[in-house]
Amino acid sequence: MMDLGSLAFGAPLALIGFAALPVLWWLLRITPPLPRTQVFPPLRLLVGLAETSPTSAHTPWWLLVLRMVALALALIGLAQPILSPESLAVRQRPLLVVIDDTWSAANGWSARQKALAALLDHASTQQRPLAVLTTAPPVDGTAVTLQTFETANAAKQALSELRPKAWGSDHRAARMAVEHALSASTASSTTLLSAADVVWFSDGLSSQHASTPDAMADVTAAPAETQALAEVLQRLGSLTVRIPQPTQATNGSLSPLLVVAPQRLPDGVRVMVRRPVGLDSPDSTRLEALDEQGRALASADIAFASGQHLAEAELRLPSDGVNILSSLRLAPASGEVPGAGGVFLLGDHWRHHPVGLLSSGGTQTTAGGSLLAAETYITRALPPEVPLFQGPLEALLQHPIQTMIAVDPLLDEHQHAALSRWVQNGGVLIRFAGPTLAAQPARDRLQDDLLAVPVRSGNRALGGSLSWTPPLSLSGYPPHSPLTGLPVPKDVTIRTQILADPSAAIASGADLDRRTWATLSDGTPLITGAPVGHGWVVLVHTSADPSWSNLPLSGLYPAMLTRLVGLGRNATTAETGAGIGAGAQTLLPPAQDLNGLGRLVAPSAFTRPLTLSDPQAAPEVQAPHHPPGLYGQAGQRVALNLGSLDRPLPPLPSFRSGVTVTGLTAQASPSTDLRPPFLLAALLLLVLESVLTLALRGLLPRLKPHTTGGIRAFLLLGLGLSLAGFPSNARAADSLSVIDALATRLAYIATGSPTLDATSAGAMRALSAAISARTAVSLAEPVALQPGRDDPLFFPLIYWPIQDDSALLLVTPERIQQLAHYREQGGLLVIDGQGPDSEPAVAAVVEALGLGTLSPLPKDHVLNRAFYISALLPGRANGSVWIEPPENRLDGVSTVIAGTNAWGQAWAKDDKGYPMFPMISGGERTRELAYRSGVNILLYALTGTYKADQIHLPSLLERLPQ
Amino acid sequence: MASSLPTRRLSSAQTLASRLPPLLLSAQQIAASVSLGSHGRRRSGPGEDFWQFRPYDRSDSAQAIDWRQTAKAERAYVRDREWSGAQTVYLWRACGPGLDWRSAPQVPTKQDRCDTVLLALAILLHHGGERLAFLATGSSDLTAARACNTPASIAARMDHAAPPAADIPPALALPHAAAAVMIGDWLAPFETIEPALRAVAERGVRGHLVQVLDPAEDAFPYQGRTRFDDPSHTMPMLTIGRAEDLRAAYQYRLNQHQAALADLCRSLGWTFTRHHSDQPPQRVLTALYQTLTLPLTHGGRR
Repeated sequence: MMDLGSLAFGAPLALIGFAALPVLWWLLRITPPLPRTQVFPPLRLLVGLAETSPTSAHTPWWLLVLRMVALALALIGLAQPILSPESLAVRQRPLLVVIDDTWSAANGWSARQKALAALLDHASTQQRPLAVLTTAPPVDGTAVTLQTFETANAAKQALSELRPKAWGSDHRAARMAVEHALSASTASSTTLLSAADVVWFSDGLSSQHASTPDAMADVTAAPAETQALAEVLQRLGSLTVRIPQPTQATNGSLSPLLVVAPQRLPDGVRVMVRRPVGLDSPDSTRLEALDEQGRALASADIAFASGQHLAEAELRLPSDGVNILSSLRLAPASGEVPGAGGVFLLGDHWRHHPVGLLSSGGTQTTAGGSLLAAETYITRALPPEVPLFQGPLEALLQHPIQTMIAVDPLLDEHQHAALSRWVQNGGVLIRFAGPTLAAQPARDRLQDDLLAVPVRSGNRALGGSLSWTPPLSLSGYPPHSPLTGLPVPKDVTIRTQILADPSAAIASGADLDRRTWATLSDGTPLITGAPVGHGWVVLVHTSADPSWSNLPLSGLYPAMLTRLVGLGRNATTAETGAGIGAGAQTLLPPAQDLNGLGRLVAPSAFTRPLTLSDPQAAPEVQAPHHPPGLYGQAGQRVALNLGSLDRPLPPLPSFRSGVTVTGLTAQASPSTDLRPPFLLAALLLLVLESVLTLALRGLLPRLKPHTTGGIRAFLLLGLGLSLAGFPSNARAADSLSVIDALATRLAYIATGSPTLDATSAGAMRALSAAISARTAVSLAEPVALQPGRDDPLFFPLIYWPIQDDSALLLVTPERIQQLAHYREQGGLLVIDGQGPDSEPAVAAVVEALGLGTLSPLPKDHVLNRAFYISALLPGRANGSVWIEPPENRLDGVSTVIAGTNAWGQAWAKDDKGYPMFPMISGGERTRELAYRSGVNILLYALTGTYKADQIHLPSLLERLPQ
Repeated sequence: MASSLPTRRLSSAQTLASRLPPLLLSAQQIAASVSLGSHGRRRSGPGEDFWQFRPYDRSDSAQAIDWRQTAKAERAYVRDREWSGAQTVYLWRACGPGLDWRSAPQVPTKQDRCDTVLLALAILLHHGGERLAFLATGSSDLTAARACNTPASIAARMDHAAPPAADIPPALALPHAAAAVMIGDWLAPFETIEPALRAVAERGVRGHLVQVLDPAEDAFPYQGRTRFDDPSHTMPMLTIGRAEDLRAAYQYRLNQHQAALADLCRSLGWTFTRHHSDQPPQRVLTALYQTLTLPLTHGGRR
């Protein structure tokens, strides 16, 4: 480094070249320009004359000056001039970069990375040794250690891979790592850390790895570890703490936000978001509630008032909407990733509350789907996504059910006791009346604690031949009833009911009115419910089958059942809790990890099964073996969230004096590398010089008038063409216009990689041409879908090539929603992995898109004969193909085809019509087969299962009247 | 390269042969444009037309006496006929790489111009009844030269494959009653030209020298740093810093050379004509033809 005030040179040795300039001047001055050769027959006459004239021809002085200036510029450029307003003292002190790569750093991670890259560039020009300390515990469970790098470029390489972890920082371990490195460096000869400048990219939070859980409870005590780390770092040299400043964010701040466990409301969800305790300024963010496909069902703006660190909002959702929520996710307007803390996963216990159906009287024989069986009506009335277990009580209690529907049960004492214990523990029992209850002896009935209200013996028949009273209709729901808001259909008539016993109710101290949830027109209760222990007991005073009323035939029945089953969800407060019926020790294998950027990925090899010893206690995220994510078997997944334990976020401690706290763009005027302008100027001057030299030697063609006219016309033409090119570019830069949507065309997702996009474009063009030539489909030019901008809705097929994991970068929440919506509308998404190596990437994208589980393409699938008889959609590579299981779709048409056969590479042709890639095996015949795959895929997208229907053609023909 | 030599020669012969008809044609056209018509020699001599009666001289033979005219007078008269006897005109032109050059594409090469002028002259002379002989370069045989006595054969001979280069005529003593027309650029050193011409003129042949030069060779339009090269690449290249500085000296030298040539011709009783290849060939052709066909006004033996 050489320092000249604000101008510094990275390689000042190159300036020595200036010493050679005078020599060059002299050499250039006496070296005449190369003469031109002229054939001249009377040469003999010239021979004697030549000596009489001096031969030293000088280069014109201005050409000489030009060359000198060019050389000087090149020399200065090679000396790597850097213009920097701040003085660049010669610093050989090493630089220690401390990075909080925690979940709370994910918000604003790109800004952090930019600042980090700038810092490393700076260090690279200063050639300072570098050490990097990441404070979050590493994924593989090793200790936090200090890494040293010889050059800043090596560090840059390593840090470009750095992603925020899904857990918090461990500043205690970080401090120990620094101290260890210090002791090691004194022992050995390396003096890397004896004096270093420290830059700490903080996540804005104090360490969340306290030694004891009790310490965590006290927010003021938590920053002690962080404080200690700061002191150690400050002792090394200078310490600069860089955190995102509130002023930097254009929209919403970059402070860490934590979504904590939501609460169910009758008409929605109450969501809460925390921010660090110390923040005072008002702030706002946006929170979306997503379903399993990643579609936002509801969203709300959440505003932090000044000085408040817990903000809440209510998401209005119908109850079935609440039931299909799978996660809550912050969607900051700034487009930042929410991070692991900004995502709250809702486990299967939120969505799928297993319901047990206890068959009446234990008689399983009638449950054969008979229209008279109560089970039929209940099964049909329950929401389809609800897992339903059927069987005898003993079997049911083995399952983690929270709601049990008992159709007029006949229980022995033992069963009765087990059932009441289950209800006491929080179970919800929905009991239907029936002949068994009516016939129950009065003594048993009075002692029955599985009834919400005492009931009279026998049943009350209405509207029969022996009754004056007509069948009764429903009159309404008391305000305290959970059924409030349901419609009151006029056509529901109850012919037979079990009557409540008001006197017995008074005797037992039960408030009959409070326990009545639905009344008939004469005021008698139809549905009664009462809390018992942690659970509920609900009694429907009529039967579950249509023998006593037409309630099971009405539309009210499913709505009512859904509400009642929902009681079970409200019953459990801790969503992360295990099932109520779970055993003492449950081992939950990891299903999906939430990574630091807030995206669900396949569990890492280091994720360990979650052990739930106490079902009521929410499990805690433990780095790195229990990252946030989903654990457990499908259908019974337990969500582990950073926000599960709702506690205040400890802010950064106040640092000692001498610690600089700056924003991420603290270096407002970073140094300017003057190398490119200097070298460019030198190059331009050299080009000018060579043109002038050519002109001097007369080697340039003389520009005759018509030639210049031609050149002028050529230049005008070029200018015109480039001008004409602009509107077309502008048109291309437009988002998809209506015209694009008018024709049927293929679309592919622009990945941003030029080679991949060129392949996609070539593949789509060639495939469109092949399809137009071979089938009745005529396709227009394919279009490229820009990420996050273009709506794919207009295209029958969207092609997505996937090379490696970088495709995951294209998976944004908007894209997930777009694609989910697209598939909902019947579109076909073709994910094309470029060979078997891309299989993990394809799987990751499928996972990230929330496409669910794909199944291998069956041999007899319609795709194999949509147009050509083909075998498993061959492509260029020998990969495999998966499709969305057709049974997942109502129409039986899969909306996702994912493969690693590299179809695109087989299809792709360049502008001249030559294939862009040679086939790996089988030659052009294989390419032809690949085209057939493409034709089949498109025709599948256009015609669905039409070809499958034709299987029935012979029998249809037979039925036709001859 | 032995195998390619015949090929090369053949190809060059082909190009030459393809040049032949146009050359002959253009020569014919030029000759037609200067044709003066058939005419007598305007002097007495062997011929058929009556020229004059003159008194008998003792040198005349008795058979020459025109008795009818003598009978009309006292003196004996001899009937002179107009001399229509043909003279032999020996033609020569230089050839070689030094002539096969032109300074600009719109100017014919010096070789072209030499050949055209020579052929056109041959046609004219042939029409005029003169005997022709072509001194091909590289041949030292007068009989061979005399055998080549029609324009067509001259053209054929001229374009005979790869004639050896020569910029001075062969030192053959031509018969005294003949005329010689020698066309070339005469840029060889004067010391080599002089003995050759003197040898040719040994028996008193009447000679006509034509110097064909490219305009650039006269004007020397070059400037700037230039490296001059000999077309035959026999001389070392000459690099000159400022060619324009040499123009005056060069032109002086050229004039000196031409003056020396003219002096030599005068001393031999020959004529010396200068011609630039950008000038029309008719002028030099007319001048040549007239000097060849008109009676001599000075010198020379009868």
